[in-house]
Amino acid sequence: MDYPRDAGRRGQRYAPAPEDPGTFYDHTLRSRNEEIGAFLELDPARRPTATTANAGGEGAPLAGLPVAVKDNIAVEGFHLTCGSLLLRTYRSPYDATAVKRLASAGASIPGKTLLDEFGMGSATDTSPLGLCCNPWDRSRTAGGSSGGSAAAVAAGMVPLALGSDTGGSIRQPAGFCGVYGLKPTYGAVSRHGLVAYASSLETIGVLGATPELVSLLFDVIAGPDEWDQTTSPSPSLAPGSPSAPGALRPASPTTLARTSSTAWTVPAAQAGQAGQAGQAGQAGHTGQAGQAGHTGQAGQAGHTGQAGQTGRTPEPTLEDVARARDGAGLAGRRIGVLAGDLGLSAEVRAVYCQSVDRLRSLGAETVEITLGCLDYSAAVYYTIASAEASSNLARFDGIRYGVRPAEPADNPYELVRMARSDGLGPEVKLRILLGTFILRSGFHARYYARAQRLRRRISSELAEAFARCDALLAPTFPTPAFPLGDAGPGPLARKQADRFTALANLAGCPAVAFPAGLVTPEDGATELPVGLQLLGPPWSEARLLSIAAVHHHATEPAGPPEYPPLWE
Amino acid sequence: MIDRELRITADLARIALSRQEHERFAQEVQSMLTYLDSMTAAEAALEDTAAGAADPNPANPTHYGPVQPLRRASGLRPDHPVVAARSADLVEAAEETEDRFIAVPNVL
Repeated sequence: MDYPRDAGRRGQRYAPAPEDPGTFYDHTLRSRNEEIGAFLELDPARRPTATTANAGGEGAPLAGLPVAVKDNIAVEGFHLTCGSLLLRTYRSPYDATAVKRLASAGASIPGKTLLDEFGMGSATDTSPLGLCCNPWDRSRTAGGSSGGSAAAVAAGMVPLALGSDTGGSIRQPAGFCGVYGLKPTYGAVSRHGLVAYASSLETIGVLGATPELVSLLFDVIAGPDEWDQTTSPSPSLAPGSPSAPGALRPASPTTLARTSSTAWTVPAAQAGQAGQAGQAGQAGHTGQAGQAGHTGQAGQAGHTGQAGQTGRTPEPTLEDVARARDGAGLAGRRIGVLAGDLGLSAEVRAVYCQSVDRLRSLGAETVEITLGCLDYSAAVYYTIASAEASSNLARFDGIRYGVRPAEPADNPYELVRMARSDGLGPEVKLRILLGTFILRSGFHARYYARAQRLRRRISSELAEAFARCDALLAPTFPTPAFPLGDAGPGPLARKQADRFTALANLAGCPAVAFPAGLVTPEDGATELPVGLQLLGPPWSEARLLSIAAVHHHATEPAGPPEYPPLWE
Repeated sequence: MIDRELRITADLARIALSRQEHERFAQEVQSMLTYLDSMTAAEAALEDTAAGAADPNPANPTHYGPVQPLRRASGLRPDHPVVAARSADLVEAAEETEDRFIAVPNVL
């Protein structure tokens, strides 16, 4: 085997293959991609080699790892199509910040993965540039919009991938494909280089084969960025907390990679801040940090402060995610379980109940939570997302961005109209029309303003829930992966099904999707994975990944039998 | 959604719709708007709950006159699609032209 195999599952170091692993790409990766359609573009020149593995220097955390990147994130030299005809010729002139950071950490980027056009969809079937199918059953969807990234990981083509999550676009495909997906806290990861769709909702996140790998990549890409003013200079509510992304790296915003000398330690400067803000030596507990007076920030303070006040279990660090196997299970953890009729299929309901039992058997205490906002979360999400999309996508006009029509136009507006009409697909047009309608002066109050008020209620309701539990267990989708084509749910039903995942985007909090079980759906003969998600208060990524890691080691979820991983 | 509203919206969004697309999107946008209207009922229910919960010791009103809501002025300009200047007029007004383009000095 010409690919590094001795790392990953238990979070060990990756040993780069000394020989040129060309066979890996030429045969396995390409042949699998022909079957799955996960990648839009592959570049053999960027395969992992001993040279690229050493790019980050000695001890680079991602040395030798190939990381796939969703095709709405800029990678210099690659196309940046967003799955759209309008951008089919566009090549990115620069790297997104997240891409720079992972490259500096020793990772290589073998290619760009397929997505729903501009990230709008939940089946990776709205792009005219390709169709991605589920590695578990190729007649079914991989989910979306980061379906290509999820399928690439599930099919063992790469151990890690970058995706983006606007309303569940990482977690839903992760659930359908049986991999892990992290939607970070809003502001934890720079979006510089991510093509904007709905700016108040979306984040760049991680899909991976194990929680340890996900935490490894998250730690590399998280942190402040001078090119994205929405990033937090540190978890502002808990400065110096080792549970926080970026706390494991030097504090300088221009530093792109964690160095071996500072690995897994709190930088002295930040430790000093923590000492001033709270009690020195206790800064690892978000509750204590929350008590230290950092409660006036962005309306999210209540989350962390309240969650921290539960104070039952010391807050884990990202390093603890790799040690979950040796820990005390979930003793002391309180998991919120959704009460009431959630409108789930029989298969997903069964997996949800099994997972609750399993979490209890691992030592967690469960508490019932009723979320009334599930009745309207999808409506709020689609109102805000469509409104923001109509504004963000105005730049794709065939002049600044996008293919210019061959036919001459009578005036500039006609040129824009022709470019957009020819280049955009029906789902994108629908959302732009809907968003434009919603923002019109006669309808703004009825839809957009109301959605913003309800969004606030959703944040409050989740804050109240996080005051009662450390993490909230929720489905990612009401059904397992559905068949491709017309046999699946209709367009409106698919949108309504986003009610579980949209919560985290509307509230800006993190969520981790994890494979919870296998089912054989009524309309199929092949076993399919079912994913669930854990939601937590802002900056609780390490906590959520630790819980997922304990679950992972208790269940050892397998991948699709047809595609054994090319790494181990 | 009535046809006229969709036409105005498409104009504002700079998207030209064929007749087929117009029919399709009229249905789909209407379907979505009907769904989004569920927010009205949700908000009303929340307000009812809040009003009920916040009323154990109602305070005396400070004003007993007729209700006079504050006058609100919309900060949004009207949605009127405008006709753009014809490129032929622009080219005609230019100092120097080449074919149907405005000629400018080389800068690179």
